[in-house]
Amino acid sequence: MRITFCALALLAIALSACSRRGAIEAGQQPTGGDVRIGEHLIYAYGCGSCHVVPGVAEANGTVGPTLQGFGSRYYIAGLLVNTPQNLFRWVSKPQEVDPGNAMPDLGVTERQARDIAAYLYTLQ
Amino acid sequence: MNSTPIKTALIAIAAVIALQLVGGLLFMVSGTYNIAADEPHLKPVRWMLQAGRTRAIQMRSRGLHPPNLRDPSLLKRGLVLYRQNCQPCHGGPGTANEQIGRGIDPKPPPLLTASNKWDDSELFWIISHGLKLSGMPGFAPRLSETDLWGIVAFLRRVVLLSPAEYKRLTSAEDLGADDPLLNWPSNNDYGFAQLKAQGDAKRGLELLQSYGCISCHMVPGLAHQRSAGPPLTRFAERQYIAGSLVNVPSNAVAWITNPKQFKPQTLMPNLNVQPAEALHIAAYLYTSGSSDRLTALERNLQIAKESSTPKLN
Ligand code: HEC
Ligand code: HEC
Ligand code: HEC
Repeated sequence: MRITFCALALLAIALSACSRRGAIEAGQQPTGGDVRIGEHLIYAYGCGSCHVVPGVAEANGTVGPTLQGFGSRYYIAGLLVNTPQNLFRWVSKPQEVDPGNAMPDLGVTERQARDIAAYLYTLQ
Repeated sequence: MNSTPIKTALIAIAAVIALQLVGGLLFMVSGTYNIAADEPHLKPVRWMLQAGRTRAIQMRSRGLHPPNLRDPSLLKRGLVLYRQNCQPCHGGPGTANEQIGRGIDPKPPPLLTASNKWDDSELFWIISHGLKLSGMPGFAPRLSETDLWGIVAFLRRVVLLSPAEYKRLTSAEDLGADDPLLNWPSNNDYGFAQLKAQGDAKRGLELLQSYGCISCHMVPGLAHQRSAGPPLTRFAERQYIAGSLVNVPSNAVAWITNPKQFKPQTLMPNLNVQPAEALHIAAYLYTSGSSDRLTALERNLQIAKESSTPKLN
C-alpha cells in the first residue's frame, strides 16, 4: 500500500518535472532564446502592468489581453500568425505592426525579444 | 515560590525577541536581501508595503471637497500637467513611460486601471502627498490646488480615450477648450443603459455557442476547442478591445457585430451577429471578472451630469 503510494508520488513528481522540461523546451527550441532570462526581462520591462503573465511576479495587468496559454494561440494581436519570427517583431515593434494600438514600443531589442518569446512559448 | 515558572517563561520570551532582533539586524546588515529594483520584492515585503495603505489614504483624504470636475478648462490644465508630470513614469494609452519610469520598483502602474479604485479625494491626496517607500512623488508643494484637481479630472476622462485620441490630445500644439475630447460627453452613456435594460446574459451564452465563438476563443463556462484569438476571460476588467477600442458596452457590441469596421486587417471574421444578439453576448462576457472597472466608468460618466463624482460605496 505504502509502496504503491510512494511509487505514485514519485511518478507524479517525475511527470511534472518532465512536463516543465517539455514546456521549457517548447520555448527554447523554436526561438533560440533563454526562458529564464525571458522571465526576468518580462518583469523588468513591466509587461505585467498590462498583461496577466502566468509565472511572472506581479504580472496581473488588464490593459491588454491575458497571455495565459499564449504558446498555443494561433494569432498575435489578431494580425499575425503566431510564429517565432512574428512574435519577435510584435514584442519589439508593436506600433509598426498595429499603428495606434495601446501597446507602446518599449525598446525591446531583437536579442531580448528572443528570450521573451522563449518564455511566452512555455505558456501552454 | 510559584513565580519561578512565570519568570522563566518571561526570560525565554525576552530571549526569543532579542534573538529575533539580532537576527533581523544581522540579516539587514549582511546584504542578503536583494535591493535591486529590477528584481521583484519578496511576496511578504510587497505585502508589507501595501498593507494599511488603502485605509491610510481613505482616512487622510476625508473632508476634501472636489470642485466641479466637468469644467473643460480644468480638464485642459490636467492634460497638460499629466503629460509633463505623470506620463514620464506612468505612460498613457499607447504611449510608453520614459526611461525614468522604467527602472522603478514597485512599478508605476498604468493609471487607466489603477485609478478606478480611488475616489476623487483619494486621488487628490495621493497626487498631493505621494506614497512612501515607492517612487511615487508628492506634487503638492509645486502644484496649486486647482492644478491638482485638474489632474484628477483628467484621470477620470482619460479612461474613456482610445490610444489614437490620446495621441491627438498630447501632440496638439494648442487645444481649444471646446475640443470634444476635453469635454464630458453629456448625451453619450456608452451603451450602459441599453446593456442593463436589454442585455440577457443567459441568451448570450447560447449565442456564444451557436455562433462558434468558442472555436476561436476561450469563453468562461464553456469548453473551448482552440485559441485563435485572446481568451475572453475576465472581460469586464479589460481596458481595450483588440488593443484600440475602449472597452465599454457600445464598443463591445460594435466590435462583435463588425470587427472589420475598426480594424480592416483583423483575423476575427464578421459573423453577421445582429446588434441585439451582440448585446446579449456582451452581457454574458461582462459577468466574467471583477466589475470594478465598469462601475468606475459609469460613475465617471456622472461627471457629465453632476457637479462632482459621487462618493464610492
Ligand atoms: C501599456 C500596456 C502594454 C504593455 C506595457 C505591454 N503590452 Fe503587450 N499588449 C498590449 C495591448 C493593448 C495588446 C493588444 C494589441 C492588439 O490587439 O492590437 C497587447 C498584445 C500583446 C501580445 C499579443 C497577445 C494576443 O493574444 O494576441 C503579446 C504577445 C504581448 N502583448 C506581449 C507583451 C510583452 C512581452 C510586453 C513587455 C515587453 C508587453 N506586451 C507590454 C498592451 C501592453
Ligand atoms: C518618478 C515616477 C513617478 C511620477 C513622476 C509619478 N508617479 Fe504615480 N506612482 C509611481 C509609482 C512607482 C507608483 C506605484 C506605487 C506602488 O504601487 O507602491 C505610483 C502610484 C500612483 C498612484 C496609485 C496607483 C495605485 O495602484 O493605486 C496614482 C493614483 C498615481 N501614481 C498618480 C500619479 C499622477 C497623477 C502623477 C502625475 C502628477 C504621477 N503619479 C507621477 C511613480 C510615479
Ligand atoms: C476565426 C476565429 C474567430 C472567431 C470565430 C471569433 N473570433 Fe473574436 N477574435 C478573434 C481574433 C483573432 C481576435 C483578436 C482581434 C484583434 O486584436 O484584432 C478576436 C477578438 C475578439 C474580441 C476582443 C478581445 C480582446 O480582448 O481584445 C472579442 C470581444 C471577440 N473577439 C468576441 C468574439 C465573439 C463574441 C465571437 C462569436 C460571435 C467571436 N469573437 C468569434 C478570432 C475569432
